[in-house]
Amino acid sequence: MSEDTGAAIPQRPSELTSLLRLSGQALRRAFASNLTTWIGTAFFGTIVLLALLAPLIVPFDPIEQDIVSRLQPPDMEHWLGTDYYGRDTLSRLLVGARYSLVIGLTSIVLAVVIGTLIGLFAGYFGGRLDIVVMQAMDVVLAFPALILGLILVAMLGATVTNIVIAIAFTAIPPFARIARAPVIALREREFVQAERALGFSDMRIMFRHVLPNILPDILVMASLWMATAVRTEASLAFIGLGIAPPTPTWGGMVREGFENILDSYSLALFPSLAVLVLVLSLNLIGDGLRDAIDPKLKVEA
Amino acid sequence: MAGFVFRRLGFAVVTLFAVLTLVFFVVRILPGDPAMVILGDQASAATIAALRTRLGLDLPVTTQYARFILGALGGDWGTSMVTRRPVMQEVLNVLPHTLELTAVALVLGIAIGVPAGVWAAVNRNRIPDYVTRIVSLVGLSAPAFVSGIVLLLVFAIALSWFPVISGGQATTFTGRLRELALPATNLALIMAAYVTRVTRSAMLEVLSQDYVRTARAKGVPARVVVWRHALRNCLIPVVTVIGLYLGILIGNSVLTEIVFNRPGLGKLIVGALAQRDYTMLQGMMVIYTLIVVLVNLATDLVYGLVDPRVQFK
Amino acid sequence: MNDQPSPVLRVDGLKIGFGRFDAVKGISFDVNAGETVALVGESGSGKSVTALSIMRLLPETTTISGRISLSGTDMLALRGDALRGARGRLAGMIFQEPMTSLNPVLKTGFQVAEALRYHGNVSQKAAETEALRLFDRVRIPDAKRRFAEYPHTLSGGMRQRVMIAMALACRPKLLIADEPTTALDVTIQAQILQLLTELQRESGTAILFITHDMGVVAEIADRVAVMRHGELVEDGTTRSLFEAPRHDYTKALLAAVPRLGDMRGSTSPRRFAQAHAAEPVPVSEPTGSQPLLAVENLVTRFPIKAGFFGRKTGAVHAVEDVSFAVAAGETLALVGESGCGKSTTGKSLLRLVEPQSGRVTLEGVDLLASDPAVLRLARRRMQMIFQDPYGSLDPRQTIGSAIAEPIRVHGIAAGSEVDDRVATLLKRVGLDASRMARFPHEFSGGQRQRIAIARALALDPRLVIADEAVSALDVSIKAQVVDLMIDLQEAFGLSYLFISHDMAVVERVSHRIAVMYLGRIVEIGPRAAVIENPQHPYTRRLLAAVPVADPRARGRFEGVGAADELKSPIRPPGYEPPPQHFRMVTEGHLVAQEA
Repeated sequence: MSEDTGAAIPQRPSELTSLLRLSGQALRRAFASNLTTWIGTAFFGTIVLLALLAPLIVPFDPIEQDIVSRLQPPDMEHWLGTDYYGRDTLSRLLVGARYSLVIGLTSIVLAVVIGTLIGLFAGYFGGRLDIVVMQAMDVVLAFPALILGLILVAMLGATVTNIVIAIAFTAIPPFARIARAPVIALREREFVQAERALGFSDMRIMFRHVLPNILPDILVMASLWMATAVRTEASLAFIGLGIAPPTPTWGGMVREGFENILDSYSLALFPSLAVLVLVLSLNLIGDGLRDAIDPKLKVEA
Repeated sequence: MAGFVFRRLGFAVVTLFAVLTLVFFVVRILPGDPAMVILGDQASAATIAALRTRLGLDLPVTTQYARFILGALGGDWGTSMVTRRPVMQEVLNVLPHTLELTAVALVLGIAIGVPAGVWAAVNRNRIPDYVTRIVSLVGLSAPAFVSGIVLLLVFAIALSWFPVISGGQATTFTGRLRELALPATNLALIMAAYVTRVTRSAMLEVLSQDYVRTARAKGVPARVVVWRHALRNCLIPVVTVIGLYLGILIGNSVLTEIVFNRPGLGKLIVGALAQRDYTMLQGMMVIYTLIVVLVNLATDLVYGLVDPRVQFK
Repeated sequence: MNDQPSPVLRVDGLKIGFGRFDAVKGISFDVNAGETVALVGESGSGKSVTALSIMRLLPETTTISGRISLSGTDMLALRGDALRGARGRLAGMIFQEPMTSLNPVLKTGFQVAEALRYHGNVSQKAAETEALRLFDRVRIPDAKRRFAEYPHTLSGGMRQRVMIAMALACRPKLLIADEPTTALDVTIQAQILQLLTELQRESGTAILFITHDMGVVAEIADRVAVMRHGELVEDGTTRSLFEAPRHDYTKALLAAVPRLGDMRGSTSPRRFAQAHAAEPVPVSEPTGSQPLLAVENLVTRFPIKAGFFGRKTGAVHAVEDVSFAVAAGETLALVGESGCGKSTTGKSLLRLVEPQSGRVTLEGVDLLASDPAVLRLARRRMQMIFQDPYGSLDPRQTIGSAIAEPIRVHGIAAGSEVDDRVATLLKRVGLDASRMARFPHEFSGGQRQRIAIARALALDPRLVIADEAVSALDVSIKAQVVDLMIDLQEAFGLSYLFISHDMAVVERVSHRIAVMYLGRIVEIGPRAAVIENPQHPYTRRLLAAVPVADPRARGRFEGVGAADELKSPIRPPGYEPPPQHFRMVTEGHLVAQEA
């Protein structure tokens, strides 16, 4: 008798293609049914592309100061004008996008992985483990996320890694909650009971059967929470706890522009719009995806 | 009902205790010796030791913990390491400004968000629904400082309808109202965006329930179906979300206070962070926790009022 | 036969479409004053859509054409307030799910009074007085108290009575009942059916009764209209339809309906399909002296905790001192109503829920005392199939993979041999092996149940626990799956523990029957003995409440109209149930002695 070989079951190609077909259908639905998903994807794709190409396409050095041409309004040379130190706003925005995206993405990936694992274990096993873990999550959840982030960054020091950790930490409890609810529903489903009756191990049931079923929900929430993460990063930078200057971050740029707002409104406005567009595009995508996987909407269609 | 209140109260106390413990250890585990931070790198070992004794940092951790908990519960939150004034007093000085701001935003946010969400749901997939969804998604996406700056630029700088600095100095009622208008609007609009979306989806869910069909089948007018049969059921999830939203509201109030240069807990905590004022930070965290726990308690009680099934659970 | 000039309801050329899908394709029928017409069909026949269209309760996007005339009012022409005023006044309606059809945040009395308030100038006070009278009329005991309570404190049967009171509040000429008893237990169903009959006799209200259950039809209807795929295939008086069905579909439908008492004079299970009707399945001779499965004094209780500190306030005594045995090749049916503990018993055997105490031996191995390795092996010998064909397969796993997984996990086969086994199993349950790479949602309910059976058989078990395995299926599909199970029993010498609330199906498939009530077995014995000579009062009540698909057997529910609820097995902490004593009626037929 061979042992349970865990997840290392050879996949028949037919099943893989079938699964791809299934997710393809869901994606098609997301785009077919919803114009806003397209708009969101277009904006987000553009921002990602610009951020990737930033080192190649920036018209000026984003960090080098040029006091002679400081606080210039938008013109043919500096499309979006220059800041207090004469740095080109467009170049700084392009480079700043890289930080917003990297911090937003890594912190959410971290939070999704850890939060989902916590929710999966707590929800699947239930009982005392569930009570203790989720009570702890609720305590963190009860505390205002931005304040918690502020304190963590202030104490750890404002580096990219620490900001990622701080934002991830505030997003873990909500993801644990998001993952736990459907796990509890699935645990009572008959196919999970049937698999237990078939003698499958808990790990196999959790990772091969429960996890794939909650994944769509998790991914949708991840796109919505990445919007929150980007917003939190910008807020931290605005308060003064972003990556230290002169590195350009959108929140930091808004802060600098805000301090000179009576001289020139454009300095604060452009990075503000950049943050708004990025967050909005992520929310549009998340919204469209959520509609696509919502079983209630499927029935109507 | 009494049993229900008692249980929730017990839960609130446990949460408060847990957060206090967390705060105590977070402040101590994180790097940086407060005494060193206050006195700077150049201070002599003797001065640092003296300050450590004065702050009670040389005592065993358990004693510090006991003092902290007893102090926090007894209202003694120590003195600020920077201003040398009692933390409690500093907090109480600015608390009314923050409470005023968030309370007005909370009421306005619900007053705008719930009807807007119901309106969108009732007109599902028609123009009012599309407009509401897009407007609320924009409101949801805007960081509080972005929307705050836009309001400031338009209504204070370009139009000069409201003061640029809402410093909290006004003594007359209208003066205070003028100072409050922009920051409160900023917070309320963002909150309304959340409430609208939650109300809309909760309402859609409720409108598809069997009991709504029952009400229609017996000939109850459409408006009564929506406002009597559906709304109360839809408020059950909405109340939950409003309770959870409180954390975001507090975070947004910090940003709003900075943008409108308004005194309050937000400015106090940012100052304390910049100066590494540990005792002040501890006090701030305690007050935030208290607020959150109290509001959650209130949410639970409202919940009990809205949903007759709760009392029996 | 009842030719009156203007019927209460006249449906003429009704067509209903959802987008490109035609749910109802031009049907016509009448309901005359004072009569009960049953609209029968399987799922997807369009019967419920028809019912909803009469009250114009379908979504606005639905396209409806034809004519619906309620007491002379053209319902399809009504708009706005005129439509609202017609609902509830011209016809009242009750629905399938009493648990969700009442608003949870409004008091029951208020909801009934509300039905009166918007039809004519009635004050709140007058409406409430009338509503209280209606509570009495639908025979709700302790009406005054129930009137001021919220719906969640009421049982399903009580809620359905409140719904009936609400529907009849404005004294409509027609009551539309959409599967009103499907969600209820059989004894409660009998009460509600009897109540409807009595109310009709008192007030002369016509009833349009939508149902899938031919037994209920035979019990209540004067005339029957049979629907299939949106078309009306046959209508006629109940008597003539049951005795001489004309349409092939009606014939097939009636042939697939088991009637309690069909099996008189036979001791073995019998297939539905005509070809096999004469070949009963004999019990294979028990091998050796001990039974395949022996359950002794099984106890499973669930603590009820309350408050923040989880204080134990009581326990659900789901399974209480249950003992029985199953021989090789035998089917033991475990019957009872909801909450009687029959499902928990099944799950306790597999330790899907942990029993408190007792002994479960399968082929001589004690399952409750075993360590995990022994339990894993034992599980291969005992498998389970479940009720919900939509829920019992992982929606994100192809069916081939679902059947292959247990084979791989238990190392029964490897490599291409696995695929061969899967193909053989699929073929064995009557499915095309080429559809292995498809997902569960691409199959019908009956096919999914076959897949679930194939997966259970993958481990070559000796005993299969079938927990309401055919209850959710349409009647013709149900018959096919039952036949399949009987085939498999014959082919592999399988034993079944057949858990069901459906006495008529149980009579078909079982060799022996155990009746459970409040967590205990109250009667157990050979099928013929239990059904033909029931001894325990509960068994008698249960059997009397089963609707029989034969209009000549009507009227057995007289006197059960009074409300009665199922008792709850919740006990205070520390409660120890009194020991149970059995009396032997005949060889192997035991009945619990009333204390």
